[in-house]
Amino acid sequence: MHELSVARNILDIALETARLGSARRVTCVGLRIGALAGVEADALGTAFDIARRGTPAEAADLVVEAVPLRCHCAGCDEDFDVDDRHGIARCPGCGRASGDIRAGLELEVSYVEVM
Amino acid sequence: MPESRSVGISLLSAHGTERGRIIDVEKGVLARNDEIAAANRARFEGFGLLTLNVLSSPGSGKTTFLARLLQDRRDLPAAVIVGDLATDRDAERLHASGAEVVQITTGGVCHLEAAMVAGAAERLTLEGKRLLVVENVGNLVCPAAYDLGEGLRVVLVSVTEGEDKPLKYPRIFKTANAVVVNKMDLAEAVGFDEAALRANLDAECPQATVFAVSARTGAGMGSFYAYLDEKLGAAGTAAR
Repeated sequence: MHELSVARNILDIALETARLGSARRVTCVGLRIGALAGVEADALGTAFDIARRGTPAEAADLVVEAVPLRCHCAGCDEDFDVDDRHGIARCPGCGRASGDIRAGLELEVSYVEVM
Repeated sequence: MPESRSVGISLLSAHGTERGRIIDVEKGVLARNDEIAAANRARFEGFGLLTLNVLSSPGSGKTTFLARLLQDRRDLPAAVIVGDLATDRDAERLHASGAEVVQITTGGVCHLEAAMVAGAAERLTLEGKRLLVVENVGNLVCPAAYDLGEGLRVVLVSVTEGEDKPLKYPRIFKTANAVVVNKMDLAEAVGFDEAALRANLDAECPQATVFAVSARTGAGMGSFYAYLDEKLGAAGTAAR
């Protein structure tokens, strides 16, 4: 979903970070992408490869930390990770379905490596 | 990923080649949208408005649902923002109910963003209104990621779309406050299995309140209006 637009936003953040840090180039961008973020890592990599050309980030790697869907069970008062292929979040303790999302929607730049 | 992270110090990797320095960023890629959405939310709540973001696949009956709502509830002064790729047909239909309506034609953008809603709201008189309704572009994928500043996210799904719909679009259903099952007047004709859909909704989005309606005939809309009234009571209190 809109991987090129997302890649351009990521590039903007990376270049601005480098500029503020008085660095000449970006060597790596660390991303955090949640399971429900709606962005596919390979497609994003392809889009970023296009977007970074001719910029100070043209040789930058993308490193992705994948964040699983994590929900909270009100009954057990505990968080649990979800790996159900339909994203159905059932508490492993009591079996109740949860709609209380605590992680898994992220689409973030966590760090930028510059030189 | 580098083994250690220090700002301002050049690192040597295990292979002895020079590495750069790490700058922590911790910034959402859609941060700009989220900032504008937060500003929208504060502004709309300041007017005591209940703001709805109405989402669905194309053809689920959003406009008919809203036309019914606005017609039945003329006691609630309403402002409407409609998003479509092209035409102002939907805005025309909703204007007939007496509400103040503006149309956003996105050209090719498949979802509404907070900035578009902020711009459209500038063209509306919010003072004295109780309800601000945003009819999003028909799409269950992209709109899910864009907070518009709404108070309630209402997802429509019609009986012709299959009982598996919630499983196919986890994000939009998991972020819904209300799910409205529409076109119940066609349920028998299409062999709709209401129990199966409700079971999938219970599993995928237990946080959502579910309504079964026919926007065309008006059946079931009463429960939704009671829900709205309850939320409106809260919105009015918040503004004081």
